[in-house]
Amino acid sequence: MAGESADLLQGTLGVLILRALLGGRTHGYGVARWIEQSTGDVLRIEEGSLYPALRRLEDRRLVKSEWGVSENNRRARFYSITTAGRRHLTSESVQWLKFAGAVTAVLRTVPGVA
Amino acid sequence: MRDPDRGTGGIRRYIRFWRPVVDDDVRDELDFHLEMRARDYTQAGSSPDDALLQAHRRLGDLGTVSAWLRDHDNRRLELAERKASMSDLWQDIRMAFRQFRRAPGFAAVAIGTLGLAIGATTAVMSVVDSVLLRPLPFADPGALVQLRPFDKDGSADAISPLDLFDMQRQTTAFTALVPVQGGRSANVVMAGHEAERVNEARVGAGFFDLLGVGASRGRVFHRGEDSASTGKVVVLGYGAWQRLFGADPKVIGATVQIGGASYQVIGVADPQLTFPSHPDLWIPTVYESWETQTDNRGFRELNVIGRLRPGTTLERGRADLSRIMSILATTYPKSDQGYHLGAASLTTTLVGDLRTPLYALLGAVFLVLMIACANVANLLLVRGSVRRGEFAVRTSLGAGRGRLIRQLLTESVILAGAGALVGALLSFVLVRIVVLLGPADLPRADEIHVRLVVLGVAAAIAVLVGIGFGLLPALHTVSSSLGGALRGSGRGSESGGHRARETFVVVEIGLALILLVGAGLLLRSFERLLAVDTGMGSERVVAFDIGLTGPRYRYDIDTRRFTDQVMQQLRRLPGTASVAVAAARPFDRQASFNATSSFKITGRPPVAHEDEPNARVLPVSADYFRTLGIPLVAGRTFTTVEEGPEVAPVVVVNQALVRKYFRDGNALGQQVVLGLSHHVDASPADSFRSRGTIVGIVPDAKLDSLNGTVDPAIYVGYGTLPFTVAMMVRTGGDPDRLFAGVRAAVHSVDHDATVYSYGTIHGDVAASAVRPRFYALILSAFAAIALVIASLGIYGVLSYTVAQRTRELGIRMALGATGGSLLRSVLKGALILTAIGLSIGVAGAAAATRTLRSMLFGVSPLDPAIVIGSVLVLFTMATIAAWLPARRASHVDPNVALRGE
Repeated sequence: MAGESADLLQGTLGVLILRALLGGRTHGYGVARWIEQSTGDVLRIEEGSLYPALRRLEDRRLVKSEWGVSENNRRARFYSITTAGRRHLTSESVQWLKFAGAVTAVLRTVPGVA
Repeated sequence: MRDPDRGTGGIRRYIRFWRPVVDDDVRDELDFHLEMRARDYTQAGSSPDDALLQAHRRLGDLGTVSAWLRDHDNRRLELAERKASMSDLWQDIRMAFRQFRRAPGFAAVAIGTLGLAIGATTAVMSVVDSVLLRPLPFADPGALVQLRPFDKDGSADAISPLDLFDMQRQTTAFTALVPVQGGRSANVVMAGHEAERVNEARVGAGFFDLLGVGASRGRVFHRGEDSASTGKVVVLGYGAWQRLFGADPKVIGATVQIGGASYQVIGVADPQLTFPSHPDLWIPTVYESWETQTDNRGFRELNVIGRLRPGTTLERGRADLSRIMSILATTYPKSDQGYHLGAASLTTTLVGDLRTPLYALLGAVFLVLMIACANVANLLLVRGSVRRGEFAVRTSLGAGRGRLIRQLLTESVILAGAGALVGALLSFVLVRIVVLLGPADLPRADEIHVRLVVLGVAAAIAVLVGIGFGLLPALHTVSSSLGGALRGSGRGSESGGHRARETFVVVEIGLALILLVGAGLLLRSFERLLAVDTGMGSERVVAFDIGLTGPRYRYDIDTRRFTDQVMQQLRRLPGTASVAVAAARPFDRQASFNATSSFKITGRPPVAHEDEPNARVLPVSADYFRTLGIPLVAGRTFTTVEEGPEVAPVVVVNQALVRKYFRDGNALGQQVVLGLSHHVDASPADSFRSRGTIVGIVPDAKLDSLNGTVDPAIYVGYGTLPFTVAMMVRTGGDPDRLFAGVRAAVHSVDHDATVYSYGTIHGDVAASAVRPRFYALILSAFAAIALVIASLGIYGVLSYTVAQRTRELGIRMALGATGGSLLRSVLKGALILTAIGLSIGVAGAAAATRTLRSMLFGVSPLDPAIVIGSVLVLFTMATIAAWLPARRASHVDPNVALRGE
């Protein structure tokens, strides 16, 4: 499946970013990499929309950012999840899993689909 | 690798305030992303160039993304800054109020001082604005012009109807020229009402159109309604309509008797219209008949106003008038040669001689404002010194210099704002007081209000005061706090503040002296004015005017009969010593009778017409001199027989006439021939005896004003009198009680006669000095305020200085200095400041009082007694203000002082 990609559903990017930040503070590239790696490159995010998405999350105080020094000693903006972000992620995850479960259940009942 | 925080990043952080930093941040972040991605591609085996290309491709449209981010971040920064400054301001305000609660005395003095000064400034500005600056309530008032005719010897004159007709026909610069006569009075009778005395104005029919003012009810005059062939019509003033007719709308169309003739009321004028001279009604002047009297071109009695054609300047108007007059002078050399026509803007002529006094008051009130500001600045400085500890602590906690200055400025702007609020409220009261105390003839008095514009100016002043006079103390306080209040005594930068405070004290004293000298000069002028000998013994002399109406007085002899009967009745009143009649009473500003005449002295060689002697002609009864207490210098006065019309012609003259025209002093027995150049229908002039022997000489009684000169005068027997009669009664009783008796006496002879302007001659004389009194009063009030504020300033600075020097003084005491020597040393410092302030003030006064010159009477602008007196007053006040803290200095307990640190 490597090389193939799926478009992200509307609004999913935010949840993925928050989930990425759950592992600790990192820069935008770190977020992008984590999403790619943890899905085995199935979900290839549109990088152009990554940073605006981060800004929007920051506006909603779900993440915060600060300038710091990267592992290779470069100046980089680091993002971390806030308490409100964690709370949001939890409720969104529950919603998402419920939704995904329902969709899966529906698809399974259709004959001809394994 | 460079350190991003210490290197350019550090600098960038530092200049974050100027904030191009957003752009850099966005670029840095995206560059970092691209670099990282490229690194990963390189590690996967791509060439560096290829890796970077792929990284870019992966990111998408870099331009769009970074533009979006920049835009977003900038907006977020702005929002944050706005929020921060709002909360800072709010914090400053709350802190300011906490400050004021902690030092209520300071806040009260500062607000009170500013309130008083701003209130006074606003009030005076309101008066100046209303009287001088606001356009007249007419359409395009700038185009309105008052014509100013001068006769050949350069004295003011009037315009003859015949000249006016020619001017109206020939003018190119004016759309209209209209005669306007105000200030006359007449009896008004409406069926079923008692007769009332009113002010009437006689105007050309174009009057209302010229001013662009209409009727609030009914209509104003039609064009051509000033012709004898049209019916007689009248427009009522709005006030008179309410006062006399109870605002009855049915009065329009009704017929009233005015001065014995019937008029139809056609309308009520706009309430705004009070021109000329606050008339109760306007009647069209009818001068048609003069067209035929070609020999009457020299009869000049009209005031004329005109409206300039749109786009025409006053200069062109003047040129047009001179052009016409030069034509008339060639055509009618006998009457119009040497006669000139000037013109002035109507606004100027209405405001007249008030310009100088009002600007002087404005100047004075600004001095008060400046003194108040200097004082508040001083208070702020002192207050700032007290708070240096507080600021030092805040600085060490990270508050920036700008932040602290903003805090202090917020405080002073709040103080000034509160002062402005107090001042605005105060100005309403002050304006009422000014109108009440002000001269009754203050033009446009009814238009004087505190206006929004003026309040706006007051608010602007407050903000300027707050920032301007708060800035220096704020800068100083902050820099001296940073200078090291934390480093122990913190006395390092104190001297700068001290110098500033001393400068403010010097300025205050200097300004206060200017005001004091000005007030002193006006008070002295007023005193001199009151001390002027009128040449009359006017105590207990009552004067009043009588208005007669109707066909009963068609002939002058009827008036004569009436006055004889009234005089008989008056003599019977208890306490009456003597009764007199004249065409006008002394000190009557609105005298309807004021005749001058050229005359010849019999036996002298004839001279050119313009060189003939000239004198005021005063028709009086025989008892006039006795009643008014004017003594006889030589000869005799009239007998009761000689005052009448049918007897030997004799006249009495004043000393001014003898001095001017009989240098040898031999006036008695000489004969004068009155060369009456004017003929007036309703005037007694044509019934003067044209020839009379001088039988008596009287002193130069002042009959018009206290500060004017006395013209040569010829008193003639009153013979016959016009409709207006002035009567004078010398009484031994209470003048007020006499009124009922006078009224009854007049009404017993003619029920329709009106008695008006009743009062004592003494009161009339005093009233003539109302203006100087008013100016002296206001300027004295300003000077008193200035004196108090300046004294407070000296006291405040010194008591603070003494408090600061407690330790030093204590040491000096411990080393053996006596209390007396300390007292002297503190006093000396204060008095040196005072002396510097006073010498600056004297120089300032020399410059400032020159503008008062026209308001002064009998005193020079730099009267030594007044200047020295003012210096002494200020010096005394300063000494007292300095003495209190100095005494405290001399009582310092060395132990307490040394322990205190």
